[in-house]
Amino acid sequence: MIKNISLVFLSAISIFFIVSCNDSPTDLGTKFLSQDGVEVLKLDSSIDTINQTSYSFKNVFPLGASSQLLLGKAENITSNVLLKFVFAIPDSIKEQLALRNLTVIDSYVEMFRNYSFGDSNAAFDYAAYKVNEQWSSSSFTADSFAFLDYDNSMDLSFNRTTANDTVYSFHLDTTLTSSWLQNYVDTSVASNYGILLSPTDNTQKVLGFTAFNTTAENDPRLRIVVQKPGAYIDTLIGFVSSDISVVLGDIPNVGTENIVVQSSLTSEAKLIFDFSVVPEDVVINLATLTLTVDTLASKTGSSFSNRISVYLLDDSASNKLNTDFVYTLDRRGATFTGDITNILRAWNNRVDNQGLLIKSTLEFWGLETFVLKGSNAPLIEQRPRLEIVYSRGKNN
Amino acid sequence: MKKLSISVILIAVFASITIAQSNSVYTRAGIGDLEFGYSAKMVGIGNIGTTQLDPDHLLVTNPASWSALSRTRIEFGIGYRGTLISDNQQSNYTSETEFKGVTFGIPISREYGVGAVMGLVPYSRISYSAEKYYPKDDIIPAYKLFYEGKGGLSKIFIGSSFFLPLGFSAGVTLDYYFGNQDYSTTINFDDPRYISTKYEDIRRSTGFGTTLGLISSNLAREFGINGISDLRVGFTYNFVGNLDTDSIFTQTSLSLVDTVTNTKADMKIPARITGGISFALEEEYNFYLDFLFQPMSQYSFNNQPDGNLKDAIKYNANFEYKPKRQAGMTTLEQIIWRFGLSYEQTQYTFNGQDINQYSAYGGLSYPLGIDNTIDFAVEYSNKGTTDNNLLHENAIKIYLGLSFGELWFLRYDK
Repeated sequence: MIKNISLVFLSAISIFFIVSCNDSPTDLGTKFLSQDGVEVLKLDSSIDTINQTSYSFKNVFPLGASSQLLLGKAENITSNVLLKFVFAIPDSIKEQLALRNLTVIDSYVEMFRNYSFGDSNAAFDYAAYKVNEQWSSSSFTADSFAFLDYDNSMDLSFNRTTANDTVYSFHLDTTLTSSWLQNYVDTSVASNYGILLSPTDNTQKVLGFTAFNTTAENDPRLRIVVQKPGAYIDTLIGFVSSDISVVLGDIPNVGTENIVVQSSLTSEAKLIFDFSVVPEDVVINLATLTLTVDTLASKTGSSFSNRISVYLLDDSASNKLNTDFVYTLDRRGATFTGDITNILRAWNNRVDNQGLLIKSTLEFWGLETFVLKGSNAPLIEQRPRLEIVYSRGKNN
Repeated sequence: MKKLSISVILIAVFASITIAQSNSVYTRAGIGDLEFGYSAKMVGIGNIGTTQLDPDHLLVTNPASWSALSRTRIEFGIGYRGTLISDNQQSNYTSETEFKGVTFGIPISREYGVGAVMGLVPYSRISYSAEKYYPKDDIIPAYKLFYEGKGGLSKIFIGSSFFLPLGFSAGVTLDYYFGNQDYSTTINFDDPRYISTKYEDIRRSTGFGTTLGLISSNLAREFGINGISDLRVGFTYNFVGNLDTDSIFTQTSLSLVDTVTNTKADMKIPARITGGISFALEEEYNFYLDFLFQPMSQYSFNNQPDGNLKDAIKYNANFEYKPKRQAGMTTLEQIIWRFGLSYEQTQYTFNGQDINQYSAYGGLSYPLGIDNTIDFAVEYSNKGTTDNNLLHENAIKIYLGLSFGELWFLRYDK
């Protein structure tokens, strides 16, 4: 009996739960919930008073990790290239080299162009110099260049490609490449520190070439033609082992009202907003940053990323970044705009406001120069614009 | 014993189940809707029953009623509530089903009217959800605010009854009150780029109280009133000490929970008083008149009164047909029938207008053997008005309950 009743009871309960349906919530009675309301407010630096400062500065990095080699002169930039090659030679040839039975009859380097900056029809020429000391693509910077030991008295290149083309080549003095082969056989008898390519004074553009890459596709390649008199002629290949661009120059003079970011040089900008205007204990629902571009002063190359990156600065003095907070501003007309909500949320959650760092998104590729209106721009609406939509519960 | 085990299993299965919200936003005021009963039996008598001496059920209003307890008994209830909430423009139907409570009683001495009862029953209920859309303006994007309130207060009690001189019965309980009152508001923007945020005010209350009850002897017999087989008056006083309440206000967005405030406060809940008179004709036809008063205008949280609360008053008039047990009765003949009407000036007042409620209810107890019943009750209530921009609620409650009794601790003569 109890079992039957229990089953009936359980069935009845199940029916109760099944019929517990509800319409979607409506606004019935919400006027009586004013104590639980939420305020949604907006701060807009172009309307509200939010103090801000901005400035540009040069921040030099080693460019060895770049997938591009920049060579030439344009605008504020003089860019040099350091190259070093290694060889993989069969033992039979190596024996002949050791016996000095081989003569180098020609040597040339091929590089594949992937970029240009400046007037594409402008003059372009360069020279190759022997480097006399060890250098590393992971640590060599523009600041190191002044101390580089190289032989600048003699241009070791000839038959250079200077006209617009896809593949650029230049021939190298065979004495130099012979010494590299001897170095391959015996490092005690010769050195191989590579060459420095420097633009000539009349050069008025910068070209970019494919740099060392893991697939070895289109990277700089040295070919050395050797001859064993009366026997054979063969071509030996030198693979690039180290390469780096050395981009020299000052940041462009863009006036006090502007800031500038430039790839590869590298020019970056700091932007600091006074976050104290945002009330405590609110939730940042969305924050957007808009930077106005001076389209006339900005310079771009043949291909580029039309985006700007914004970082949260951990330490403004040392430019240490908080890499957890990296956001991109996309180009919209004459502005770069993007969502930086989580940076504002970090400040709102007691992360110290050391400001924002603004960079080119592809900072180690190309020479794009984005001139942006800074905090001193005479028109307030052109200054960096921070829009914050925030909310707070009525309990606050 | 087997019956009790089955009961415990059933309770365990359903104790934690609660579905949806079924009340209006009025429950945002104070501690929400006041709950007076927990079982189908109590719904069938208007949730008060101050003078009822029912050996077949455990009533929680008046601990003096346990003096009639003759069997070890366990009782619990589950209830469905559906409410059509309306204002001048629209209506919305919501419903929920929930476990309402459980009690367990042991008769200790029939000679002295000593019965010990313990249980878990609701004291108040907060249950609402609402949503409002704010269209985009020149500055602020479009968003919705979703309001939700849930929780309430429950009490665990243990108490006992005993006979007083002159045939009076008395009872007393020690009550432990606990519960969460969870009020939340969630902002959801139409544009997914905006981060939604949930603001939540959670109050966790605990505290002690007591209930004192008294039921008179059969005054018809005492005063020699003919034609009335049973006449009694009853009275209860339910005191709730100030409840210690932790109040935590948090804001949650994405996975970040930020505790904005965390405070302790006292919640003052006014005492509840009930009174009643009942009489029976021919020992079968029972009439009950009950009265309840709780001055909720004196409610305060953190020493702040709630402007939407006033004193709660409830009047019940109930009839119960309880056939005298005779040999050879069919099961149908043993069914106990109940019916009643009530008028309630609820504790709510909004826009300067009191929120009142009219209810009609009825129920039955179907016998399962000698000491057990399955109980069923239905209540229809009509609450509030759409005048003055207020809300009107048409609610239906359907309750199911089981009351199992068993003779324990039998002493056999050798």
